[in-house]
Amino acid sequence: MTATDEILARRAGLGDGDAFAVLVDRHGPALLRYARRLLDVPAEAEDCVQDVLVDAWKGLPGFRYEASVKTWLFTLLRHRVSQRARRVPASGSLPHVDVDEVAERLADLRADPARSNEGRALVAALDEALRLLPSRQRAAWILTEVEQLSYAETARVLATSPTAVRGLLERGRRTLATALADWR
Amino acid sequence: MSGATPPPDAVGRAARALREDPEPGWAEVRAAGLVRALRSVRPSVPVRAEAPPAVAALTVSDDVLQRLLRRAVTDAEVDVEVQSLRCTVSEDGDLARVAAGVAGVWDDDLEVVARRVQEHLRRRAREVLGTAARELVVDVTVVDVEAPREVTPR
Repeated sequence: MTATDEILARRAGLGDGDAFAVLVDRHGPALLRYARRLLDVPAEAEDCVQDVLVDAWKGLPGFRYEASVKTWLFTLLRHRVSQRARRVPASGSLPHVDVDEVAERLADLRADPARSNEGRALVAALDEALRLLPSRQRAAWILTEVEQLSYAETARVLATSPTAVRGLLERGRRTLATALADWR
Repeated sequence: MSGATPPPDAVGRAARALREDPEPGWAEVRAAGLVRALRSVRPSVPVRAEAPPAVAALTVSDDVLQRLLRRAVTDAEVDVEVQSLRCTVSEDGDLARVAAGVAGVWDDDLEVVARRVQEHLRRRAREVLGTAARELVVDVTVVDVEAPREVTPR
């Protein structure tokens, strides 16, 4: 029988490094995926995830299980990402990329006759389109649509309300749908 | 309930593709992150241990002590899961109390199991701390009962 996250977290909290490694294998790739899309410099995203693993190892003995382990890990990551993403406007109200440049790259990706893998090209296009979203919309969209957290869990990670998450998602989905309209 | 509603086709396909794509470079990040994490020092409290004659004072961190105590139980009791373990340290730095929460299995006599766990904890604490653990109180609570683990025949 596969141990649940909670059982693994309890073991890791009591010093079981093997249990911690299983938790890391289970959630680490998602953490890296999120960090890479919230931070523009890949090396920063990787450092950030490593910092989160250290935070998690140190924090597990005091973890109160008020949220799922996955939600807690994303909350730790959100704090680390915020520390590193100083250049993003604090209000999250404006994208920090050139819209025309992104639109051009999206068109190039769509038109590239050498595309051998539709899924990979679509992910590349999505990555371009995600850059159009302010950081909080981007974070809310990734957490719910890619990582499949509930509105309440996403709200907890982003330290906001489920209603606010709903608003962030509506705006984010609209922008992404427009940006990827040619991929239908 | 997931908060996700069915998104437009292309965006939904893209989200799924992103989720299912292996994250490049993960193996390196994992390896480096695990080493950093497991080598990091958790916040801890020093617990006084019996010092050999030539040593003025000897302490063991409560974090290390917890790991040793948990191992003492899990090595001896295959059907017991230690779910919590709290060490209370007195103002003088002595280990005053160990409180363990354990899960047993249905068909075991849980009172007997709890007494055995209590004994494993007491013995290990005394091995590590010597006479400094003379007054130690050990509380064991069975906090959960699980189905017996399946044993794979060899």
